[in-house]
Amino acid sequence: MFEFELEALKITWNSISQRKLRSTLTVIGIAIGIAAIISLVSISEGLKQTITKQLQQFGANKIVVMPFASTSTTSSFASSYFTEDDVKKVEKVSGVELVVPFLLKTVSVEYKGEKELIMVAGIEPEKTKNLFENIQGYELESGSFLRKNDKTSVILGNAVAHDMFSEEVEVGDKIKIGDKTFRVKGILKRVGNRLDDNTIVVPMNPLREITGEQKEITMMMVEAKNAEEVEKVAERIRKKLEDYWKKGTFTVLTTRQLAERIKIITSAMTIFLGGIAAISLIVAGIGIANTMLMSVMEKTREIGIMKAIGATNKDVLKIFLIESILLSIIGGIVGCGIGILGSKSLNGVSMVQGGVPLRTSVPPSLIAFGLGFSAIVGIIFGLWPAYKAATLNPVEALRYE
Amino acid sequence: MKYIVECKNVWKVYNPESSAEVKALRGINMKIKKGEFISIMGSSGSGKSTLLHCIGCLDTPTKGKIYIDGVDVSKLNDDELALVRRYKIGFVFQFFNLVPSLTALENVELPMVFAGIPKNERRKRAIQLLEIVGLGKRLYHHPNQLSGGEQQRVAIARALANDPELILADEPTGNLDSKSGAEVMKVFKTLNKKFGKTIVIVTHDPLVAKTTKRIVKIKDGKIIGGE
Repeated sequence: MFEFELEALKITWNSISQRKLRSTLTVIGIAIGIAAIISLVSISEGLKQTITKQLQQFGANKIVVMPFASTSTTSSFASSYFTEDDVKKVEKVSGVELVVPFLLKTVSVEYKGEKELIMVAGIEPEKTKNLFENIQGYELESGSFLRKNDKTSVILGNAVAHDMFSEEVEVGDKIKIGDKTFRVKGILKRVGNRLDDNTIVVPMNPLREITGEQKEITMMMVEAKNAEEVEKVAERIRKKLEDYWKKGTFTVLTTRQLAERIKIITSAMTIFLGGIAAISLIVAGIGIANTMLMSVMEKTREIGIMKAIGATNKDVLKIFLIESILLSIIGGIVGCGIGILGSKSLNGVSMVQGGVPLRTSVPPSLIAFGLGFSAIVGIIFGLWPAYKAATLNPVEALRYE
Repeated sequence: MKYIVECKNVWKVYNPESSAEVKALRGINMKIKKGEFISIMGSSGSGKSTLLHCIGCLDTPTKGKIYIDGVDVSKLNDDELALVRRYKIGFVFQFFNLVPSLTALENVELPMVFAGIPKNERRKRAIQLLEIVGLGKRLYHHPNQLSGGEQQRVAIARALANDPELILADEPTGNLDSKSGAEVMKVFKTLNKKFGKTIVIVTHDPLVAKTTKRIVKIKDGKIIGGE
């Protein structure tokens, strides 16, 4: 059935391997384009999955309430805040299991004479255990969580204890936050997320005293009683807060909504990165067209011979198309290989020091896409040279030196 | 059908109605019977090659009609012409025109590849044909490993691949020494005698022409004898 195509493949393979240097250069062009697509798409997909996975760990019954519009920039983050009154309102909403209010501040922290500016999270001490173990799923490396009425103890993020200061901080050590001295009660296991690993958890009231913020609540983490009802609970919270807050000046997001928003952003990134890689493929395609035009010129006489012994225009077209597709698919295979290596080499690497390690993967569909795309490039850029070959006048072609 | 080739008032004009106008053929009338062994003789520029190209469906006449095995080929499109070339005509060229990257065997198989003949059958027939032209021991040689005479015999085997009735040869000995040339002419003779092929040889060499049974002389695009 594909007798002719198979034979044509053999003939073109011969001609490709006879022009090794030129064929190799053409193949490299395609390989770079495909490798770029494979690795860039797999990295951005990996990023998407990493973020999504983190959110899943977070649990499906969580709601984040923030005192600014979700579309606003971080500048309003500082200027707008909730108060204890808002917390109480949210606590009364039906279906709410627990509300954990946060006060987030960047404060000067001193350990053994060394000063650093560190993010400090003020939390009601009795809620730390619940927050970390049940809501965040974080564990302690050493020490214990804060208890009710704990006023002088803190919990350190892993990086604060091990990386921040020249000397390691251990449980029981004294650390100065603002003008108050605290004792380190617990150290969290490494989370892999820069923000949490670099944070100190301090009881709410002492932090208010340090910063002088009497009512401010930076954000609230809400746990719904029932994971299935989380959207409804979020809606109720929204309604409740709308009695006091102008619509659009605060944000209530469930974990799922958060994940969807992040997905939209990362998808846009995937398309953008893939698009850049696609441009490099167009350049490579022009390389193919160039190689094929030279091939047609060099083989003008051969084309004349083939026509003289009975090849139709379509036969000649096929032979040259097969040659360009062969070149581009070889490039595609090499490119997939390089792309997979590139993606693998970035697996586990963090974008920022101490950040979440990236998990990249190359799904079979991406490889299929890479190969398919390379073949399409071969067809598109091989079509014109092949058409030129097919429509050569046999007498003139035979006369060609 | 008695005639394999019939030319009726065939004209071929290059660059018509311009200062570079060339009238290569001016009203050729010629008939070639099936099984004939003929030569078309003329000096260079006489139009003999143009005539062969038109008979061989590589080119179409500007005016007039050419019948190959009763079919008017002057009005056929590219693909139809290709099919006539594939099944009815075998070409032999002065410069052999083998595909350099293919072996002798593969070169002979090539017309059968275009005809869609299965591999086994193709191979069997190609070996047979190469044995007929005396190259049974040179199957896997590439053209550059063969002498001129051998290359031309591969080309003849290739021309026979799809078993055409008509073999057209354009100065087939023009690039060979006299010994190889004689061998090639012997092969043509055998093909005509033993296999009944119609053979048309274009040449300017009287010695070659003498080997054939009829000589058609052409000058300035007109037949001047032997028609």
